Amino acid sequence: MRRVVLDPGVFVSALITPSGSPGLLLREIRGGQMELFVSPRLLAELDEVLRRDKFRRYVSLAAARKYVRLVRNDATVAPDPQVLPPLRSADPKDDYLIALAHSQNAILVSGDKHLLDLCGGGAPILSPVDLLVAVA
Amino acid sequence: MAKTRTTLTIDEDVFRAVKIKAARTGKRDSQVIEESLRRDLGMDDLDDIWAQVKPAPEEEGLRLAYSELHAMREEKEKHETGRP
Repeated sequence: MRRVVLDPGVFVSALITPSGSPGLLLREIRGGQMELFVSPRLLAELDEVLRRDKFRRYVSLAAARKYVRLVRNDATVAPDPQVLPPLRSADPKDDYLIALAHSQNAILVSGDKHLLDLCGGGAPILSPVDLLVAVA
Repeated sequence: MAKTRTTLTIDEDVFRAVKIKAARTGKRDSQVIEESLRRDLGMDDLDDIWAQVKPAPEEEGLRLAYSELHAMREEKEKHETGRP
C-alpha cells in the first residue's frame, strides 16, 4: 500500500474544494487505497491555518475543527522528525514535510511550487492530480 | 464507487438484527451492513463536513490554501522573533 504525507495546503484545498483533485485524493485515501501519515506539527499548522478569517466564507470554524479531528483520527500520527531532510526546499518552512515523508518512507503530496520543483531531482513529491493518475 | 463481494461470519443475533432493520427500512441486508460499517469507521463524517462547505473553484481553493498557509507562517515567525 502506498504511504503518503499530504502537506497542509492539500488538506485545506481538499476541504474547501471537495470535487477538486485534493478532495478526490482524500476520498481515495479514506477508501483504504493509501496509508496517510501526519505529525503533530502538520496537524497544528492545519488547525491554525483553517482558523483564519478568509476561510469563513467557505466553511464554519466548527466544521473546520471537525475536519482536523477527522484527519487526526484517520491518519497515523508519526513523531515530528528531529533530523534534517535529505533535500531542502527553497522555503525552509517546508523542510519538516520532506523530513516527515522521508522518515515514513512516504510520498509527499503538495501543490506548492517550491516542493514540486524538487520532484525533478528525483524526490518522491507529487501533486494531488499526479498521484491520482499514478494510482488509477 | 465500485462494489466488492465478500463473505462475513457474524453472530446470529447480529444477523437477525440486520434482517429486522432491513425489513423495517426497506433496504437490502448489504445496505444495512454497509451503512453501519460506514458510521462505525467514520466514513460518512467527511461527506457530512463537505455538505456544510460552500465550495471554492479548484484553482482558487488551492491558491487560497497556500497563500494563507504562507501568511500564517510569516505572521507566526514575526511573532516568535519579535520582528516588525
